[in-house]
This record gives sequence, structure tokens and C-alpha cells, in this order.
Amino acid sequence: MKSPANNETVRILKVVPALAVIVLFFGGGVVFAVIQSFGGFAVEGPSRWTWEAYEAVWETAWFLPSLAVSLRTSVLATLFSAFIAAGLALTTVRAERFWRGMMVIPLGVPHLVAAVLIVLLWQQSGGIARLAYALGWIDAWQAFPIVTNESFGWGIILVYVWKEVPFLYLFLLPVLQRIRSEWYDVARLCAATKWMYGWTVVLPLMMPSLAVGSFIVFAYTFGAFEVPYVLGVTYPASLAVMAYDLYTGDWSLRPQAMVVACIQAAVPLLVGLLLIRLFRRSRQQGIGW
Amino acid sequence: MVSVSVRIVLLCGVLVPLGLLVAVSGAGIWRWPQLLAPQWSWDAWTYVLFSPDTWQAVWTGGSIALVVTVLNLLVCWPAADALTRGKVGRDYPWMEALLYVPIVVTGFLPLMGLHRLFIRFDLADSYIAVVLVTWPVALPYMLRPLMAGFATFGVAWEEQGRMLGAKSWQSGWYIVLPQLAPSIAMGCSLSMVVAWSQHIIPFLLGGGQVRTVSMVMMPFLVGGEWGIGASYAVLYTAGACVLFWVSGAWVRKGWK
Repeated sequence: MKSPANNETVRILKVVPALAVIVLFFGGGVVFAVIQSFGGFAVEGPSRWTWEAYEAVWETAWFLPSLAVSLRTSVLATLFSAFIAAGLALTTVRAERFWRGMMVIPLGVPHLVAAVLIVLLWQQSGGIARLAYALGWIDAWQAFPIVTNESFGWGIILVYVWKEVPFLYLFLLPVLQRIRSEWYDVARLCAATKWMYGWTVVLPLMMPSLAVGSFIVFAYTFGAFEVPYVLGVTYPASLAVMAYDLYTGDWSLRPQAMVVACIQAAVPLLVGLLLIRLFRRSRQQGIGW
Repeated sequence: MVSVSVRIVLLCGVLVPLGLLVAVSGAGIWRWPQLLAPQWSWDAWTYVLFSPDTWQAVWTGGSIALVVTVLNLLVCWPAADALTRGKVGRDYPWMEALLYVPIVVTGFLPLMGLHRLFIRFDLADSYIAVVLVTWPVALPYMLRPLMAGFATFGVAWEEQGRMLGAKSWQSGWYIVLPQLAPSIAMGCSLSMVVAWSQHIIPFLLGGGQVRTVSMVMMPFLVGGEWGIGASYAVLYTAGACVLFWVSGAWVRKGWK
């Protein structure tokens, strides 16, 4: 017989290959990028430790507007997606397979294609504008509101909502399916209204899944490049587009590109830590399964 | 039962945009304010389907997805096993957390750092570089279903097999694989789609040498050639769906 200690070593060794992939081909990239943001591994000239790139980014005119665009589009897209997904999950939890299948189709569509879809649909001469014209709501394409490639970022938000609602829906569905309809009957017996039942029973049960799913959506949309690249404007561009422009621009700007990439990764990390703290507290209050 | 309003929202929200994309791919000239395209034209599709670039790109993107998925299956299987059955997952929760980091840390940070490293090792602008960077990005999507599968699969079956004299590879092949086929199928499907749908990784790390479908598509969209761009977009999406379905069905059927 193998000793238990030996057994545990074997089990740890089984995780090592997967850990190595993450540490080498993901973590390595992160560490290298952070080092470069502080002036290490300079492309030209000697390497030295410095805050210069951070100061340079902070002092540019575009940094705060770009941060605002990224935060605004990802926070709004996350909130809208969460509300719509929760609503759809609640109304279709007992639906036929066909409708639930229809719901998840956008998951298979790459983000870049989703961005193209929204452009075709919402640009000033797009599908919806043509429909509005045919119905007599507008008399020229110029009269249609600008939704794509404007500075607020509505087009970006639309793409993310279209893509992430199905994702959050899949996150919520298993939880809602575990809620037995008898519980509602019991609640009714205790004189609870439909809304009281939803507020005190259903909502706390789905909150943990919804929070985790929403956080993943926020982290993804905050960092992603393709969608703001297709649907954004040159000024203020999102942080991802700025990082890309700096990276593909002059070599001396590479450390600044790394700085922007670091900020992009740091924001979701901070939000995540905050959520974990909040989550712990709500766990103590008995929210969740 | 689904209410009529939800049905209308779903139909308009999901199918209309996709239908519009297909329509644009075959519309030829479609002037404002025509609501429907005047005629169907195969010009854009003919160009796309007969361009050698297209099939080169489909092969490049598809083979990257396949290689990444096989690599992920190889590393995730033992990891999912060890993390769900036994004390490792409980004693070292950071291990599981670390494996899911690529879901949360998105964006350019790892790509840009690795790019510099790859240049140093003469790996930049290569197929291998794209595979190596896509690998961890798709890993969590393989790990999650496998862990869910192993969590509901006790050790009793394998102990039984070992008692009857099965070697470890035999118990893996004849006992674990058939039982976990649904989880493995889901993991393969997700990993395939995630790897296939990456745009910025082959774009940045392939340096124009590794051309996937999205990279062939982009110039047409930027240049306003909507017909050809939309055809490529349909092909790109269809590729994701086919990979999702085929890899899942293939894995499931192989061990039934």
C-alpha cells in the first residue's frame, strides 16, 4: 500500500502540468509586461527602474477619458446584461428546449462578428434605420440617431449585451431550475405575495451566481479589444484600443502600452477583491444556497 | 410555456441580426432606403469560397483550435481528477483559483509580455507562439466541465478495476473515459470555440504570418466591402458552430 503522504504528492503532481501552462504561458507574460512597464527589458537603450511610463500615461490628455469610456461601457453592459439575463431566465426557466436553445445562440458567435452585426443593424443607413424609414418615422438617414462609433459607446454596449446575456443566462438557469415550485406554494400559504417571494426567496438564491457571472462579464468587457476597435471612436478610444495603438506605434512608447495593459488588468482584479469581501459578508447573512 | 412577448424578443433579438448578416453576404448592391435587397448575388460567396486564402485560414484557425484542445485535455484531465477527488483541492484552494485566472485577466497584458519574450527566443510570428498563448486562455473552459464530471464520479469504479488487475492506463481508457464522455465532450467543444474565436492573439503574436479567418475578414470590413466581409463573418461563425458540434458529437460517439 502507498502511504497517504505519498498519495498526496502524486495528486499534487497531477495538477502541476496545468499549473505550469498558466504560470509559463500566462503568468510569465503578465510578469514580463509589468517589468517592462517599469522600464525593464527596454527595446532601445539601457534598462532602468522608473515610474516614467506611469507618469507619462497619467499626464496625457487621453488617459482619463479613455478610462471613462472603458469603465462606462463595461459597467453599463454588465448591468444591462445582468437584468435582461435574470428576466429571461425567470420567464423561460420552465420553457421548451427550443426557446432555451435559441437563447444561447449568440454564445457561439465570435465577438468580432457580433460587432459587425450591430454595425449592420444600427448604423445610420443600417437595418433599423431602413425599417424606420419604411414606417415613415424618419425621412432621411441623417435623421436616424448615431448609435455606432459615437463617443458615449452605445454600440459597444449593445454588442456586449447581445453576447453576454446568453452567458449569464446559462449561469443562472441551473440555479433557477433547482428552485422547486412547491416553495412558492409554501410561501403563498404563509401569505407572501408574488413579489415578496421573489424578493426574499428567489433573489437571494440567484444572487451569488449572478454576481460571479456579472464579474466575469465585467472583467472581460473591460479588457477586450475587438469590439471597441470596431465600434468606438478615435477620441476618446477605450483603454484596449489605446494600448494597441501605443504598442504598434513608436518603440519608445512600448512601456506606456504596458502601463495601460497593467491598468486594464488591475481594475477587474481590484473589483474582484472588493466583491469577495462583500460576498463574505452576505454569506454570513445567509444569502445563497 | 413562453409568453408571446418573450418569443418575439428572442426571435427579433437573436435571429434578425444573424439573418441580416446572411442577407448582406448575398445582397450585392443594397442601396438606402431599400428595406429588402433587390436581388441575391453569389459574387461575394464565390470570391470567398474560391479564394485559396480562405481555406488556408480555415485550416490554420481550425488546426490551432484542435492542437490547443488536445493539449488542454492532456493537462486538465489529471488536474481535474486531483482537484476534485481527494484533499488537494481543499488544502490548496489557490491552485484552482490560479487555473481560472485567464477568465478574469483578459486584455493585452499577458500577450504583450510574452511577445517580447518570444522575440528573444526567436519564436515570435510563428504558429507555435500562437498555440502557446491560446493554450492557457482556453484552459479554464476545458477544466470546468471536467471538474464537474469528476466531482460526481466516485473512486469506487476505478478501485474495482484495479482490484480486477487493470493498469492505470486501462482504468483511464475503459472506465473513466466512457463515464466522463459528456464532460469531456463539453470541455472539447468549449475549448475549440474559444480557441477558434480568438482574434487578437493570432493578430499580435502571429505577426501576419499566422492568418486565421478573422484576420482575412478584417481588411474587407475596414475597406467597406460588406458583401465579402459578411461572407467571411458567416464562415467564421459557422466554423465556431461546426467545431462546437463536431468535437462534442465525436467525443461522445467515440466512447458510447
